[in-house]
Amino acid sequence: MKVLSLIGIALAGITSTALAAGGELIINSMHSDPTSKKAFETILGDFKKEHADIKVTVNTIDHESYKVQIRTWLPNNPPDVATWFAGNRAKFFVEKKLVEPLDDVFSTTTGQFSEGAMAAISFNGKKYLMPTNYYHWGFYYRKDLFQKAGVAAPPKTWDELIAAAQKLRAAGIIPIAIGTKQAWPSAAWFDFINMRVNGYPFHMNLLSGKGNYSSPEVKKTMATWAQLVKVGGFPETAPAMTWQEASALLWQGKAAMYLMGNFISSEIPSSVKAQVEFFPFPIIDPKIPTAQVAPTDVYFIPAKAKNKANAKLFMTFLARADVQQKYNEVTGLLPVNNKAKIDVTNTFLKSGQQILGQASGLSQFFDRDAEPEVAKVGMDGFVEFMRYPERTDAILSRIENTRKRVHR
Amino acid sequence: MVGSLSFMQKRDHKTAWRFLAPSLILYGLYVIFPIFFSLYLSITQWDGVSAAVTPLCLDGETSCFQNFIDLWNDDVFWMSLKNNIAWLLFFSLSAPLGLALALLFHVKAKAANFYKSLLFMPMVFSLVVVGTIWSWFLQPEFGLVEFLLKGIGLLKEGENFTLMASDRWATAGLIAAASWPHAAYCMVLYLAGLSNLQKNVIEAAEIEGVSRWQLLWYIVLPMLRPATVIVVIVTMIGALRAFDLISIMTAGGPANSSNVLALYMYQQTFENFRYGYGAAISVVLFAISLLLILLYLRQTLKDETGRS
Repeated sequence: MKVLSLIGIALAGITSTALAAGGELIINSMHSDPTSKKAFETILGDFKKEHADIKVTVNTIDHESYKVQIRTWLPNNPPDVATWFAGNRAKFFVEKKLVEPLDDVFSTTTGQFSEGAMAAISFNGKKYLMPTNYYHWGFYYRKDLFQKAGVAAPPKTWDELIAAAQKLRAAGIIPIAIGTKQAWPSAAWFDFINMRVNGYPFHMNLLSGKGNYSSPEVKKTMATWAQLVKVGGFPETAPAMTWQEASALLWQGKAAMYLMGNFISSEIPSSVKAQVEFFPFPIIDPKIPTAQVAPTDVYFIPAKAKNKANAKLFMTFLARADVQQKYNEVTGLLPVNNKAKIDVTNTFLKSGQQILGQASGLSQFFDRDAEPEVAKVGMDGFVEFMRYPERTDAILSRIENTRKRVHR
Repeated sequence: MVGSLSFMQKRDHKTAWRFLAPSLILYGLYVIFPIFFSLYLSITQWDGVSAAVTPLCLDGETSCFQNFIDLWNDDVFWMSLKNNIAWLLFFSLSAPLGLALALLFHVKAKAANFYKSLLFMPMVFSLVVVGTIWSWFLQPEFGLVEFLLKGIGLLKEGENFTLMASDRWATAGLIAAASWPHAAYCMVLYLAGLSNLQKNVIEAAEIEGVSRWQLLWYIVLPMLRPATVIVVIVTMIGALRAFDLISIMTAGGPANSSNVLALYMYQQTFENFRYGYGAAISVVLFAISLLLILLYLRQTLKDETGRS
């Protein structure tokens, strides 16, 4: 009996080594805010239960430091799994051969990820990143202020948006809140208008560094945007406000609309919750297929990781619909695996799932799709443009010069 | 006798070097080496990831100084330099302000001590805290200054206090915020100087019947000279390395109109990952600081030797 049980234990040991090598799994994460940290810990607990023999270590580093430090540890001393962004920010590392392909992991997930999502994680025909969640962008608006200013329904076209802005201005309400103290909120406007005017392929090509910022197409984008600036669509105090301070304009009833990511929906104060609703960015040219902005969080395996077998196990785990569902029940974001269910009572999430599902393409946001340097010059230029739209040509040629230098 | 003295001296030297070694090593590692490494980086195009760091002219570029040529053509660089000059000019106003405060509170009274500690308070805060507080003060829509201006009728309902949103005036707001703790610092330096004044000279002057202004100009200020040297140097350095406050309050915006060299260097290096270009900016900043301080120190030393 004793001998048998000993054999049993030995066998169990052998089988578990056959399934998973035991050993270690080191994960570097930039999700340091309480919500995403908690979400990650929830699913990590499940992973540890399923693979009790793997010793998992998680290093959580704050977002901004992570973005700087990854350049030091990724080529030299990487963990087994790391968090990052989809799109061109990851492409930079993929091209430097610092990222392990994940095609074998995705071979078992056919039909669970949309084509748009796959496009954002594939480079040169190979899949490199595991997307776990994304979120949508669009307008958050005050129903009561629309009513007060006589705007009947949320604008569906650009002309309706301009008309709504004029009516709100006349009623003494700031039509659209924006805070550009950090320049990035201005870039959402460029992303959307450029995708609506020139289409998703043009936009992505431009941001990948192959297009020309001084081209007539981009000038048309800026001219469209200028229409809204000139009717007083935005507050003149924007450059002195952060995006959070600008959102206070909406909650206090001083501004009626706000183009933002859905992370804002969890911050709506309960006192105005009933008045705040969502509408997608209006159509500008009806001939252009509708694309959306949807920044996507991903996990990847560094090419020099030491425990790749365990890392692949973790990736297979992350791809699962039930895991993504559990993860995003905490984050409040949308799971990328389309078999994962969302909270249907949350109308913001529901609209998000709907517009992202129908989108012809998903962009990752200006500062992720463009090279960091072009993005910086671009976003500073957009802030200047929103104050001095007459300087369009000078601003665009500055961005174009930077693009030429970066992508020479 | 003579021989043993020189032996003692030798041994003393050795001991001195041993005591100096730890700080010299640290100084070399963290100050001297980075200076020369930055000089080297400024002629490369390192992105922070690539293993090899080669000078530009060995890397297919026509000139090793391409970064400096790019700087010359960079509007933001000139804007930052202009702002640094504005900082040098207007930030130094906190020195006379500090002197005035020191003269005002250089009395032995409990109340004076209370006010001194109140004024000294911002010195204790980190500049990040100072920046956050002033951002709130100067905030349009919700800020204290806008509230006060509306209270006294200088701003009408529906108007906003747009200082920090203006590409012309944001730097003024920044310098005002930075002067708050710095004037207190100057005050403390001058207070220390004032307590070391030779009382008999002042008493003699008072017996001779000089006016208060004459006393200040011809007697107190010259005697405060050592304090002034320190104040001018820390103010110059403070103006040139202004960074944390700007990063917190405007991040160089709107659209780089309040950027300065130190912050632009940081943005290029750690946000755009242009280590070479960032190093080139730091080399320029280093040259400016070195030049200003050398000029000032030379003048001061000349005056000192001229007088003695």
